[in-house]
Order: sequence, then C-alpha cells, then structure tokens
Amino acid sequence: MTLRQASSLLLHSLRRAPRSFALSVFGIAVGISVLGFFLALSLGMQKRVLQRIFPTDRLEVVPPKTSVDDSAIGALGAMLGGSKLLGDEMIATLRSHPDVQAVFPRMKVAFPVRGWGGERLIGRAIYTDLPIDGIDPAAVSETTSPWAFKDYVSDKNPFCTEDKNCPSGWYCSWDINKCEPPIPVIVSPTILEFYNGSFARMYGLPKISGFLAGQLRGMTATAELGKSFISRREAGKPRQRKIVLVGVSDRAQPFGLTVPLPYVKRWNAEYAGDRMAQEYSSLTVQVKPGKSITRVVELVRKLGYSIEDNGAEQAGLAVLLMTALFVLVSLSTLVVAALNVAHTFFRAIAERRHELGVMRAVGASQRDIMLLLLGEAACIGLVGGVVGLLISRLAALGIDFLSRTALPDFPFKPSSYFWFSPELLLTLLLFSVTICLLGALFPARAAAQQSPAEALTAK
Amino acid sequence: MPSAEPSAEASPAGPSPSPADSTGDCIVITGLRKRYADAEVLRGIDLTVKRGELVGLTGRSGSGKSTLLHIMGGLDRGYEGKVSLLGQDLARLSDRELAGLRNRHIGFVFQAFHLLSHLSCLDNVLLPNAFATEPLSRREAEQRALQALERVSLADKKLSRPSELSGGQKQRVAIARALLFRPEVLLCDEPTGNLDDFTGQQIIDLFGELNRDGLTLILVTHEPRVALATTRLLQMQNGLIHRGQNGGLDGRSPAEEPSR
Repeated sequence: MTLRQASSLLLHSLRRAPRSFALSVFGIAVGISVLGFFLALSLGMQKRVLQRIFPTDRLEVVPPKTSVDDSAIGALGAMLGGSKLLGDEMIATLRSHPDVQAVFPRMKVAFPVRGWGGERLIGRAIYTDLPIDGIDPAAVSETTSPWAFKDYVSDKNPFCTEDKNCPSGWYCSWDINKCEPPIPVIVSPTILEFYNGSFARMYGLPKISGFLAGQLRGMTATAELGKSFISRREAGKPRQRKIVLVGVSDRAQPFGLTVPLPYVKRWNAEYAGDRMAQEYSSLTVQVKPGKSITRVVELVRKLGYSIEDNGAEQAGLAVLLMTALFVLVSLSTLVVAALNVAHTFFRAIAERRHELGVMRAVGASQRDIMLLLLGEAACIGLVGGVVGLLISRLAALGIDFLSRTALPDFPFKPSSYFWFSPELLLTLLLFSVTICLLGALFPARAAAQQSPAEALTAK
Repeated sequence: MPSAEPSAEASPAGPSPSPADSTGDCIVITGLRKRYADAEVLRGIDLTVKRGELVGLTGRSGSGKSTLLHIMGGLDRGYEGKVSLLGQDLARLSDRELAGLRNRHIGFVFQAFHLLSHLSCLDNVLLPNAFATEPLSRREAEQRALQALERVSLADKKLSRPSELSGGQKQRVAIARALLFRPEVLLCDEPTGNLDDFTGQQIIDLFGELNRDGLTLILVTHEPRVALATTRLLQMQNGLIHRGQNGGLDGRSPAEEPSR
C-alpha cells in the first residue's frame, strides 16, 4: 500500500464515522490541553518569574555562618586567628574549578554613607542613607555611555581648585584637588520592580519603564562618605562625591547602590581599616552554560564556606512539586483518553469486522490493516493534539489578559505566565500521537490478526 | 497427513506475478482437513479444478462448502493437507504473498455483497487497487473500474452509494470489484442467496458469460438452478465431497471422481 493509497483510505475511513472520530479527538484534546497548560505555566513561571528573582546559573558564596550552638567555638576560632576570610585565595580556588566560568568579588562599604538627589525623577530631592557595595567591574556589561562602569580615580587625574578646571562632565574634588568624573553606579532591576510595584503607587509617582530607565541613565546625585542621616556615628573625614547612574544590572545588590570595587576597597581602607579592605562580603560565582551549580556548591561547603540562601531552592522545589501534581492530573486525563481511544477502536473494529474482512479478501495484508488502523489513531492524536494545544494557548492568553487588566501591578509581574516553547509544542504533539497509537495498538493488532474468513462470516 | 499451518516465512521464490500451472490445473487439493474447536469440518478432501471450469459446490448447511471455498481462496488457514492455487502451495506463502495472490489472481463474491457503504460504486470497485503491491495509476485504475462496471451494466451508477442500489445491483458491483484485476479464478459464496429469482438468474447468466470468456468459477450454492448452470457439480456432505457429476451448463469438463 503506497502512502497515497493509505491516505485516501484513511480519509474515507475517518469520514465514515465522524462522530466517533470527534469524540476520540475531544478526549485527547482535553488531556493535551490540560497537560500543555500546566507545563507551559510551569516553564513560564521558571523562565519569566523565578529566574528573574533567583538566577539559577550563579551562586553567592559568603563567609561561614555559625549556628547559635557553635558560635562560641567560632568566636574562639576567630580570636585564635583561625576565622575564614573570604579573600583572594578563595577566588583563585573557585576560578580553578572546571564548572566555574567567572568569580566576581563583592565588598560592602563598612561605614555610613548618606546621599541626596533624584530631582529628575520626582521633581524634588530624596535624602536617604545609602547601602553601597562594590563589585568587580568585569562582572557588569549592561552599562552604556556616557560613563563606563569602571574606576576613574588615577594619579594622572588633573589638578584643580574648582569645577571649571576639569574636563566636561567632571568635577573638582576639593578635598584632594583632583578632577574626577562622577562615580558610576548601577542599580538592580529588583529596585525598579519594587519602586514600580509599591513605592510609585503609594506616592503617586511615575513608573519607571524600560524607556524611562534608559532616560535615567546619566542622572547624578551626591553621596557623602562617613555620614548618616540615621545615626550620629561618623567615620574618618566626611567627604562628598558625585555619583552617576550608568545602568540597571542584576549584578547590582538588590537594595542599594553598587559601584566599581576599587572605590569601596579604597574607602574601606580609609574609613574602616585594612582588614575590611581585604575581606569580601561575598563572591558571585557564575557557572559555565549547561553546567549545574551542584558541584560548585559541594566544593564551597567542603571548604567551610556558606552559600547565600536566597530562597531559590525552596521556590524552585515548590514550583516543581506543583508542576508534578498538575502533570500527574493531566497524565491521568490522558490515560483515560487513551483508554477511550482503545475502547473506541475495539468498538469500531467490531463494527467494521466485515469491512476489514473485505479488505483482506481483496488483497490487504495484516500489515496493511494494522497500518490503516494505526494511521487513523495517529490522525486522532494529531488533530486532538493540535486542538488541545490551541485550547491551552487560548486559555493562557485569557489568563494573561485577565492578569494585565484585572490584577494590580506587583513586583516581578510578568507580561505572560506561560512559555509555549517550540520544543514543548512538538513534544506534546508527539506525545498525543504516541498515546493514541498505544491506545490503538492492541485493537489494531487483534484486527489485523483476525482470519479474513472469520471476519467475513461474523454475525 | 502433513500439516499445513501458515508459514511465517516467505517462500524462497514467492508467488510469481502471474502464477501458472503447466498442467492446466487451477486448483489442486489433496487430503484437506480442517477442524474448528471440537468439530472436524473438512475430513479429507481431494479435488482438482481445471482452468476454465465452472464448478458448483452444493450441500446442506454445515457441510463445509464455505470453509472449503475460503481455504481455496486463502482466506482461511490452519488446515492439514495441501492446497495449491495456480501452482502455489498456499500454506507456504507468507501473509503478504497470500494477500498479493488474492489481490491479483482471485476474485471473491459473497452472499452479503460486502460493499463498503461509505464508498461510491466506483471506489468500491477500485478498492483492490488500494492494496496492490504495484498499483495502477488512478487514471488507469478508473478506466479499468469503469470497464468492469460496464461489464455488469452499471457504469451509470458509478457515483451511487451502495445504499442507493438494489440487491442485484449491489451484487453486480461486487462482481465488478472482483473483476478489476482480471483474475484467473472467481470464488462465489452463495452469490444469489439474497436475490429474487429474476435477479438471481441475471447473475447466473453473467457468471456463464464470464466462464465462456475463460474465467474459472467456483460457486458455493444450494440453489438447484445455480447448480444447473455449472459445468461440474460437487455435492458435499459431512466434510466430504460425496459425489461429482456433470453440471447442466454443458459437458466440457471431465467428471471428477468422488473424493471418498
């Protein structure tokens, strides 16, 4: 039987019992739509929400955390000089691991800093204490002109007594009489999400869209090192520096400002002592594409350091469990659908016994009958799969629309909760066809193996 | 008695595209036995049908005539003895080879017509082409199908569904389907059993014409008027061919010795 002959016979067969065909298609479509909906939801939640909040391709190594019980031992160890320093040695160890792509040290400013600015955003200045940390400039690639995210302080910076002595855009740091450009600062998308989702709503301020975030680049403010609005504590000799927003990056600390690491190292050495200029608050470890963080986590723990618990593991597990539950429900629907297909085929084959007998009499082999019936099953699977995927896509679009129009904004609110990847669609279609083929396999085999004489003489 | 269970393997040579028996025998059966559960339906049949014969097979219900016809046509397997059709030992053919033999060289006509209700008359006649290992082109197949329908005087009904036809017309469409590939042998199981006398006679006349054109026919029937139209009549009783005699159509065929 050629493909053309088979498809012609197949069409005739499907047209002979449209109701039975439609019922089988409906059963499969329901199962596939439920499965497709929840798998796409799970993928969407992981890709569009969880990965934004908890990146899974990197981890944050922090100094060892001691529990209450062993804090005394830790303190004793520290007194004896045995405390673990998160320094350059650890960076070298991690960089030598085969799964590690890069290690970026991060250091917190260990003294008070306060700042003011933001007139361009809300029309008047905001005064606040500033949590600042520094990160290796190599870790940041999202910044744009006019300023790169790098250390601009150098011995070669021109001498000045006032701003007009300095190149355009630079200013005169009067305390050292050197020209400097503003210190480049990056902020995390998390800040923008919380600003949009909470702060802007509370105070009736404009939301920062992608466009506005671009406009804010180049916005300057003033930071005063060694002073605080909250505490009277002062450290070293207070001095003012200009800062400039150069970009939004998920390398920045979630709440606060992030500047190039050399600035923080110098400031900590001056305001908090040499030790604070050598000890990193954390190391961001980026694993190579396709590699798991598991082996790196093992190494870190073996070396006696800790991993910053950002909740990713628990959130991922929760999504995984929910997905597994929904997939189980969907699979049981599909098993019922497959049984329905098997039942439909058994019934149809009993009804079509004479027809199949005639086909055998006029020259159909067992293989021809098997192929014909499995072809019908594959058609049911394909049509059921396509219809099911259309239903799940429509349902997803409906939910996304409702979310956009009826739900208030909240941090990390995605434009879509679903991710219908081409691989998912293809897999579900293949799955749908496979389920139908499995359902029809036994009845088709029984029909093909039936003696033609028996089929023709059956009552 | 040698067993003739279906062979799973293809015979080394397989059926030739146009099997021929140099002796001129169309069907040769020796020592055929067939059992269903506890009942032995065929109890040792020996029979030779020459090319061009029109053989009638009569007998009471349950005498085994339909079973014999099915085995001759390769529709039923799992018997003892040897059945050769057009020089091919049916038990040695694989399922595909046997299907090919049925497709090209054997035509079947059944009492219940067995037309596919969802197909037009033309598509019913074209059905064997769908399973042919070397199918005719659509155009050639349709030409042949129309010729076959013309042969049974139903060319004008080619687009009708079986439900729109009378019993006689349905049987003629079934005959046209059997003739699509111009087979060497036509096996008919009670072909007039569902027809009135007049229509039945038309079908019998058609068989006579086909036989005169050289087609070998074997008719299972218990109608005397059909028996009269054969060149040889075989009477079956309790799974045996009880006696053979010249049929009423003419005396061309040599009389067959009773098998027992």
